[in-house]
Amino acid sequence: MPKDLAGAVLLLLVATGYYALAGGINPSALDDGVGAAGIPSIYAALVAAMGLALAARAAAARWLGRAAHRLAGAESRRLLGAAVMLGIGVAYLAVVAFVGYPLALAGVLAGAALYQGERPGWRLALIALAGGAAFWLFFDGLLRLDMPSGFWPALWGG
Amino acid sequence: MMEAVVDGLGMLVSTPIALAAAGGVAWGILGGALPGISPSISMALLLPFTYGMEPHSAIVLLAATYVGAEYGGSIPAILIHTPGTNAAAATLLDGYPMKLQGRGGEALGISLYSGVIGGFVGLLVLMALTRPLADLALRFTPMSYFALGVLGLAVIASLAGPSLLKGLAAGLLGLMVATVGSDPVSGVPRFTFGQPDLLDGVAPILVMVGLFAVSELFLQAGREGWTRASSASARIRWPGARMRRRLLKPQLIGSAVGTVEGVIPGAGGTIASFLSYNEARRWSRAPEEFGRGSPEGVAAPETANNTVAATALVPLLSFGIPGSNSAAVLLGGFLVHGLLPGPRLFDENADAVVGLYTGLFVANLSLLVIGGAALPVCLWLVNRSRPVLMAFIYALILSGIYSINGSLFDLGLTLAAGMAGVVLRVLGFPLLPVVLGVVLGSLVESNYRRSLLLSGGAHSIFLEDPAAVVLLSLAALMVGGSVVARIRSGIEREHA
Repeated sequence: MPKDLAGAVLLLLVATGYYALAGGINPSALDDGVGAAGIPSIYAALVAAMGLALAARAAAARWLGRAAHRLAGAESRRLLGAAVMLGIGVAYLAVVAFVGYPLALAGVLAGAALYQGERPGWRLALIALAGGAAFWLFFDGLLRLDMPSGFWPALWGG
Repeated sequence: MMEAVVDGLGMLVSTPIALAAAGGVAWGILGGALPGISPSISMALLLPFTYGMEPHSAIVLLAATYVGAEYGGSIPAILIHTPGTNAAAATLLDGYPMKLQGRGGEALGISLYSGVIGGFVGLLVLMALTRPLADLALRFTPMSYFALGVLGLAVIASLAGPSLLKGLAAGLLGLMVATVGSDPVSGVPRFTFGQPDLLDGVAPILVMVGLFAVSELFLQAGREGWTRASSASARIRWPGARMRRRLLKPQLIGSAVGTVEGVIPGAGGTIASFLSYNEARRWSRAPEEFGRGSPEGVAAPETANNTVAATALVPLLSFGIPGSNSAAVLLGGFLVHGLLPGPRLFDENADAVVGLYTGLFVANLSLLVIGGAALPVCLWLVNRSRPVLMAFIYALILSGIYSINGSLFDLGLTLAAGMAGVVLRVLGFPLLPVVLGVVLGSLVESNYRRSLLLSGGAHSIFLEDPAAVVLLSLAALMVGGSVVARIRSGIEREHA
């Protein structure tokens, strides 16, 4: 798919969703002439216009037989790689309150390193656990920030 | 300017600014030395940790990181043929051939020496230009402020990437993000989905860290690792008196190009480096040496990109408009501490400006010492396993963002911004206009609406304000000129 066309679809989707949400903004007695939904409606219209212009550019390139920048296989793989890294982050968000900051972070260290090609084994497990502990000591111990402690205090009767 | 110098000397004694400057330089060198970690990413990684700091030190820490990263980028460029930063790609052209000739230490010394010269020239230009421009901006009305915001977005959208349409769309997407939260006039919640965390809007720091740092980390997942550097030629060799005389001309060229490119929003260190490299070759007595290990080919781009590290702050401090990714992150540092860069900063928080000048002075001085001392650490880092290093950077981001407000919601927003950044980059949208839109959104909307309140809803008020007319005309010229230039280059390509 040409990048311009994909970009156009993205912009039109964003503009439509944003415009629909702007329509749901409650009016207020304190509103000025423009209103709370006024500027968002203008932005939505402008983004839609940009999307249509991009779509027109993609169509013109195809009509004139010009080579368009297409989403290559390598870029699709990079998107997939990014989604996996995002998944690791989301998993961290899901478990950190339960398992606690040091252990969840060790999971991130191990997961992200493994995904990027580090060989599994004792060495990696040790690096991840030591890393999690070091981060915890720095943030919780040294900077006195209240990082999520998880179930550990309950386990120790704290 | 003399007043600022005297105040700055006083600050050096009374606050930990010197420590922040040295720490920032060290962090910047390490970040810059890691390929893929740009100056703005090094700064964004540090941004969450500045929350608990005293404002002056926090801003100096970030600015000094920028200074250090510009030099740090040259280390892998010279030693392992991989530029640590985009701007260091020009340094590679002669730095790496020098290393192959066994002159890697000499190339590093020239890079450091020239970087320090560029940094001091840039600081002088910053101190000389910022105040007069800020005084000019002090006369601005709400109409001119609105026009200034539009001009800032138009300039960045035109220069930030190859497609004007995508640049403008990216700026609009940023403006959309800025509308999340309470309406600036009536206080009605907008796009908050009932989440109290969103009532104050999306903090620019989350967008910056997400778009710059997280998206880069995500995009690098699964990429080939960098080659390992040997430890040969890793001792810095300072240029002697004869060499220093030879480097004078390329350093002058680098300073001049860096000054012009830095002051123009959107131009940045990479363009300055390559332009100064070309000019240095054109004016050199030995142009045939360029590309084969010419010391002048290292000096010119390194002087230019370190000059830019200071002069890129001119539009930020004078008008509140960041001209580069790094300046945008520095703006985030100001906002975190409730300081708003722009003309009023000089009257309301003059200390912050003087502190920044002082910090940049110390940062450039300490670059001389730390630049040499940090080299073994940089080499050690570059030689680590890339997957483990990237995993640690991910852990640092997750921890840093959580430490700001103790909020997992903020962390989720940052990750979402990172993924949005990945999609935008893959589709060819530049990220700086998005960040600028987020930062300038409130300025644009509130001044637009304030102007209409003053005029009773008549848009003609924008044409009655001379400054607004000039700024809006410049914005239109910028966009129009960009369209014409792109059509012309398209026609030229057709005929080529």
